This record gives sequence, structure tokens and C-alpha cells, in this order.
Amino acid sequence: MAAERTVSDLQGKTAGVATRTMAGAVDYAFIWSIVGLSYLGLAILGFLINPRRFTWPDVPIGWFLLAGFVLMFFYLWLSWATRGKTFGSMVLGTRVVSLDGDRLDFIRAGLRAGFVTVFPIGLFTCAITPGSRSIHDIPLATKVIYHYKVDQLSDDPNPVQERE
Amino acid sequence: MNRVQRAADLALGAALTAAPTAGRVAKVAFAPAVITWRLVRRPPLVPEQFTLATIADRWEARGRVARELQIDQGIDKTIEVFDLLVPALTTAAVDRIGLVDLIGRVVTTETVDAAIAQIDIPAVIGQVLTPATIDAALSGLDPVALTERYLDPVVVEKLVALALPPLLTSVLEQLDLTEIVRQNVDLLALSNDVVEQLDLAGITNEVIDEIDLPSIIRESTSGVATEVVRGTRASAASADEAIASFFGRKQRD
Repeated sequence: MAAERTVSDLQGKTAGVATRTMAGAVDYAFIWSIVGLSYLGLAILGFLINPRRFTWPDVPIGWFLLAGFVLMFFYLWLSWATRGKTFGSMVLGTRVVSLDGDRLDFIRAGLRAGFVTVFPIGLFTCAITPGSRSIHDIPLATKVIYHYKVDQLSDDPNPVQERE
Repeated sequence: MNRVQRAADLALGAALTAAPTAGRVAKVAFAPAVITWRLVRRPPLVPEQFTLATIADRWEARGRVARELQIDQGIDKTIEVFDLLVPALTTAAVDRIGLVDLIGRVVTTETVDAAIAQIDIPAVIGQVLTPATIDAALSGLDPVALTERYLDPVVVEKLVALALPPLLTSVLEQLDLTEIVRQNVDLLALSNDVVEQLDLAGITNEVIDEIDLPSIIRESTSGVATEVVRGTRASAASADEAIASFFGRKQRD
């Protein structure tokens, strides 16, 4: 079984480009849906305040982009500095760690978050680099590993037994 | 005036002269004495349980309990003595009177006959059994209680078991129950009443509560979600491997 093998064998090894891209896609979808929902919330608020003269809020597209990028940056930063897992990583079962397998400190997590936010396309470089490390990973000495079994995390405060 | 009287007068005079002074002295000495007594009873810096007052209280309580116990025991003893004495005394008294003999002598056939002859029975009955007294007596009766007291349940049960089935069968054979109900009972109103009494909403809610729908949904969806996640992860990992081999590179190190 493929699923059996992925869970038992791949745990702790560097993740490939497909998994990481899908995780990134989930995160992007997550962030942009939050931005969209915020816009919707703004509109509903406007409607509640003045229902008779309701118009959709006129927000320049640049603001959306800015909000999305700022949100993405802080989201990635906090996720990587705490558990090493974003929402997409949790779904796809990956984790961002330093080269020796530890959790990233705040500074390194912040630098990596900024880099990834500004230059997301660099993710694909992990398809060709040795050790499957993207252009973000190499200067910051980080890597992305498969991390299906959450209970193997030594620094995880709440180990969760994943069903197999 | 003799000597004794003089001596007494002298003592009285001295006492009257000394009394106010003694009163004043006592008054002055009283306050410090009270304070001293308090200090002795509850010296400062001594824990409460070791003060004289506490100890005295404790002793007093103990003494009181002992005294009360003593009194209780005394009463018990007295009652025991009375229990022994009273029957013996009563028996002795009755023996001394010769009650049986006395009754035998007084209540002879003649005396009883004479007594009965003096009574006008119809008049007595007429006096006692007036409509008012009969009403009062009957209203005081509780048929159910009476029946329960005087009829042996087992006998009643046997009687009923013997007599009732044939009786009922014959009665039922004579009756067309369906027709009677149809003619006399407003079935629609009855069913309406039943439905009104039922509280269907409440029953439904209870049933739903019993079923614990949330946990069922949680289990089923979590199962589905886990399957989807596991499948996605497996395919992603396979894709990783495929891409890595396409670029001719050993992916896992």
C-alpha cells in the first residue's frame, strides 16, 4: 500500500516539490479566502450600518494584494516559529525544520517567511537542487521534511496519535 | 447595762465605722483584681488551648457530662426497680381483694336477670338508633377499609378467579363492544386529546438526543477526511518521487 509506505518510511525525510507545492497551494487558498472573507465582512458591516445606501466597498486591488502579502508573512512566520507547520503542511504532512531537525527560532522563521512571501516561485527550485532544498532553504540552513506522525515530535506540546 | 451588751455595741460601732472605708478599699481593689483575674484566665501570648479559662471550661464540660450521665443512670435504675415492683404489687393486691370470688358472688343469674328485666330494650334501641346516630355511624364507615380488614385476600382472589371468567364471557357474548364504542365514544375527540397530550416535539427531541447525532457525524466525516488526507499525501509523495527520478536525482537523503 502506498499510504502505508508513505507514513512509515518517509517520516523525517526531505519532502519533494509536489508535496510542498500542494501545501503551498493550500496555504495560498487559505490566506486569500481569509482576505475575501474580510472583504465580505466589511461589506456586511457597511450594509448593517447603512442598509439603504449600500454599495460594495470600493477597495483598490493593490490593497487586497498588500493585505494578502502581509497576512501571509505573519502567518508563515508564526507557523514556522511555533510548530513548524502551516495549515497546508498539516494537511500534506510536512514540517519546516533547521538542517539538524530542530524547530526554527523566531529570527530564522521571520527571514524565511519574508523570503517565501516575496519570492514564492522559488519553491520550485527544490525539484532540481540536491537534497530537495529550495532556494529559500539553502541560505537559511533549513529544510522541509515529511512529518506525518505528529507524535514523533519531541517538542510538540500536544502529541496527536495519527490513525493509520 | 451588762458586759456582753457593751461588747456587742462596741463591735457594732467599730464595724459601722470601718464599713465605708472597707467598701472604698474594696472598690479600689476591685478593678485591678478583675484585670488580674482576666490576665490569669487568659494570659497574653499563651495559646488559647492552654489558658486557664479554656482548661476550666473543658473541666466544667466534662463534669457536666458526668453529672448528666449519673442522673440518667439513676433514672434508669429507678425505672428498673419500678418494673420489678409494680407487677408483683398489683398481683398481690388483686389476690388480697379476691376479685374472682367477688364477681362470682355479685353476678349471679338472678341479679343479671333482674338487671335485664329492668331495661326497656325497645325504648333503649329507639333512643340510640335515631336517624341522626345512624347517619353519623354510616358516614364514619370506610367500606374499602372494612373489606380489606375482614375479607381474606386469598379467598377473594380465589372467588374472583372462579366466578369472574364465566360471568365476563357470558356478558361479553351478549354485547357488541365495537358497536357500543362506535355509538357512544367520540373517537376523533379522543384521538385529538391523545395527540395533544403526547408532546410529540418533546419525544422527538429526546430521541434525537439519545441518538447523539453530532458524534455520528463527527465519526463518519472524520473517517472520510482522514481517508482523503491520507490519499492526497500518498499521491503527493508518489509525485515527489516521480519528479525526483525525472531529474535523475536521488530524492531522499
